[in-house]
Amino acid sequence: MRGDADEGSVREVFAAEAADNLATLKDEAATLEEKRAAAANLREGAALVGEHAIAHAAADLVERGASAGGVAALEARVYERLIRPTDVEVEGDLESEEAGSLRRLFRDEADETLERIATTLAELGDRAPGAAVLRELMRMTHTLKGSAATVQLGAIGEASHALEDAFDALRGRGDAWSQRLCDQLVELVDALRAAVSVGDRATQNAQIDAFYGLLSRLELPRGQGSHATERGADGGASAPPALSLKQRDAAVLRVDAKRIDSLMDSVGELAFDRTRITRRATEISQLATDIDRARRRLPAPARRLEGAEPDEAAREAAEILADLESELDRQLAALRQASGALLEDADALRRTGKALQDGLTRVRMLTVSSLFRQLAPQLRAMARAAGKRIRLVTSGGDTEFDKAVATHVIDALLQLLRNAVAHGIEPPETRRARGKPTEGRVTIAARQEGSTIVLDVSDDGAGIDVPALRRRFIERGAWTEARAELASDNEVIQALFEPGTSQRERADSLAGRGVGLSAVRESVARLGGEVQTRSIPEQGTRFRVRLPVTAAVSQALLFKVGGDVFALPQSYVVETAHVDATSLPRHLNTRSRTVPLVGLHQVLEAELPADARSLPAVVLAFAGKQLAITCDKIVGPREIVIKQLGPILSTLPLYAGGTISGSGKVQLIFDPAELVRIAFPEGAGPPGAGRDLRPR
Amino acid sequence: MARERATDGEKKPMRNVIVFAIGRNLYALELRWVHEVVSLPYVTRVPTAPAGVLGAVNVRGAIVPVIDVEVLGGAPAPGRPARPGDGAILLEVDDAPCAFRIDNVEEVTTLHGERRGRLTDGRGRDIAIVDPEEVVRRVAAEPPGRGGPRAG
Repeated sequence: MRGDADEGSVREVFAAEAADNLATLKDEAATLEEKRAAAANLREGAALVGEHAIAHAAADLVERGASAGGVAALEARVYERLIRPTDVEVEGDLESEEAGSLRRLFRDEADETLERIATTLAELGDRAPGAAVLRELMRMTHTLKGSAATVQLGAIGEASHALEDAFDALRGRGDAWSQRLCDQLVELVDALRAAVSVGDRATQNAQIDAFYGLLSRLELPRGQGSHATERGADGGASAPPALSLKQRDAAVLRVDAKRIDSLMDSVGELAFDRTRITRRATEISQLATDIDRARRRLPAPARRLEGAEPDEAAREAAEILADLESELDRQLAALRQASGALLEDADALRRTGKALQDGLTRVRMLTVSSLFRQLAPQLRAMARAAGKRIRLVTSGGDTEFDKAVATHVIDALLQLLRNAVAHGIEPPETRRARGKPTEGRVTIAARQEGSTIVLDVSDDGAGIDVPALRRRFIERGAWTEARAELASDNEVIQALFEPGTSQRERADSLAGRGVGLSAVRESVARLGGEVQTRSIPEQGTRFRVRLPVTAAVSQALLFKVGGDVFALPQSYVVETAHVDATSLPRHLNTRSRTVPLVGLHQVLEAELPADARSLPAVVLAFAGKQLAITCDKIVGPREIVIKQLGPILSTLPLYAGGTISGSGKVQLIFDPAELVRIAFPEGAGPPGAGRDLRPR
Repeated sequence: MARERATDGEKKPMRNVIVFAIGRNLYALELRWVHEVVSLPYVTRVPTAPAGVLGAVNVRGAIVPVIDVEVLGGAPAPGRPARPGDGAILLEVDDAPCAFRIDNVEEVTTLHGERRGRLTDGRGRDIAIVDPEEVVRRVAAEPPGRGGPRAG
């Protein structure tokens, strides 16, 4: 709408008027009445062009009189929204990386604070907050305002201020409190959280507009609390206590998670390197055995000479052979010792790498409560959208787990919550009829069991209607009647996790379009976890998600060869190309050079796709060498969780590890070092190449 | 019944075993090795692996090799490929988890009278005793599968 020509000119007019009005407000000669009129004018103009933030700041001045601080805030708003292009960051010196991370810290902290505010409000329900609770709410918003100012996020600061005012207006006005007001306030806080969480200006402004939109609909008691007077007393230049960012105990470090992730990636590569070294050392000791076997054949001619009448030349030859023999023995012993030492070193490397990995994992451990914080506002939004009253109960917030796991499970948990809201919790009327409290209850409980995190997402809703599911599977043609009849209840529930099943009759925005639970199972399976379901009719449903406490996540390129999917660490992939499938050349010309082409079908003993004219090829670089490998089809880049192959399979040089696909299949990860060896056989030789190492 | 044969049993060790069949052959594995009996999920082919490795499966998030115990019998050709739904015994040898593919479990019982790695059960059937450590050792010593990368 703002793009309209008319709309544009209206904004221009408003901008010009705003400048005049601001001048009046700053003019010391202007009367109070003139200032009030200017502010009112600004408020109306701003409301007309949909600038809720400006309208709110102006309204503040109309009601409370033009304090210097208030005018400055209003001016900043106008300046930011109308005069400057919105995509330019206002902050000059905050562009540095340091400032960026300071802002991320602010976001974390603001997120925590706002969730505390939202939870406090949500717990009130229809009971009006006492003076102490309001004071605490105001304290929290006030701190937030200060923090926002520190990191120069003025708009967030002002919105916090507006929120603080809203709480202030409620002091001593318990009569104005209602469940509805409580819900509106929670929604308002969630809107501010949404604004805090986004990084780019334009989106943030849109979120802040949404915030003021909600604020303008808030039914607050008229009149002022004492807060405004307090602010008037210090001339409006109130300096809120800025904040814990600086006061925080120096012994506790807040580090950007990305830095730790990249360290973690390096540690992961270290594990690959170590496996390679072990393999080489084993090869060397095998080589020693081979040489030893050859040596045993060596002294035979020398011994034959002993019995006969040896001539000078033969004796000399025998002596040389004997010398050579003992020399070879010494060298063999040295070689064995060296390979043994190498194996020990590799083992030491493994231990150090493990310690490093464990340490880093501990560093990036999150408490489950941080997960709860992200889930809570989403659940509230879902409940609002569905018109249901739902209370979230959490427990086990202290449980710790790897951030990598947390990031990858959050969508799955959201889906389970969506499920609870859409299918679990009944509409209030139904609940009343069933003798349940009208407010539904969703519980997320976390606990650790050994190296597993158990997350229970349960609701006290209707439970899963198994007979209805049986009927629906038949109607859809997914199951035969016999199968539906024979399947146990548990099997029917399990079928919900298959792709293409949706419990709802009609797809709606809340509970997916038949992708919901299958996506849950998929993302949990990728992490190496599982989901169990228990449901009791009319009592509720419990989804139990078991996850490993830690996970090694990495970027990889996935591709298909002979029906199976394989992976290659993305960091080694240079580009992808196509080759002629009918002739399969031995080399591939890339943009910059000619590289050897390895036919993976041959290496893996797989059939070439029947009628393919051209095959995709992946160009990779490792240890300064480039090569290309053919495949059937490139699946694409994916984030994968790397798993060890275990003692039996890890002896295979071709693989660096494995991963589990979304459908629970094992996929193997190639070791680029071995691919290089196949492409450049003259380089580092395989065990059988010992011939070349004859002492000279 | 056990008492009647007690004199016999004192001389020869008794074994608590799971008896399983692969094709027509019967095998006995001591129960202490067995973690559980499962039916296999999707089996991923592992090219270049030794002939005794039938593939790899996902067991609760861990990657586990599926092993053909008949490599012990010296069968030149590896057994038929493992398929989803096939039976398997999960066990762990020297910290190496693995799955032995089986056709079906015959019984869990106590057998005695071992002679050269073989037993005879109550019905006079000939049963080979499986030593999992030996199986894993042999699998590892097997040459790589024919699909193995060859240099040169």
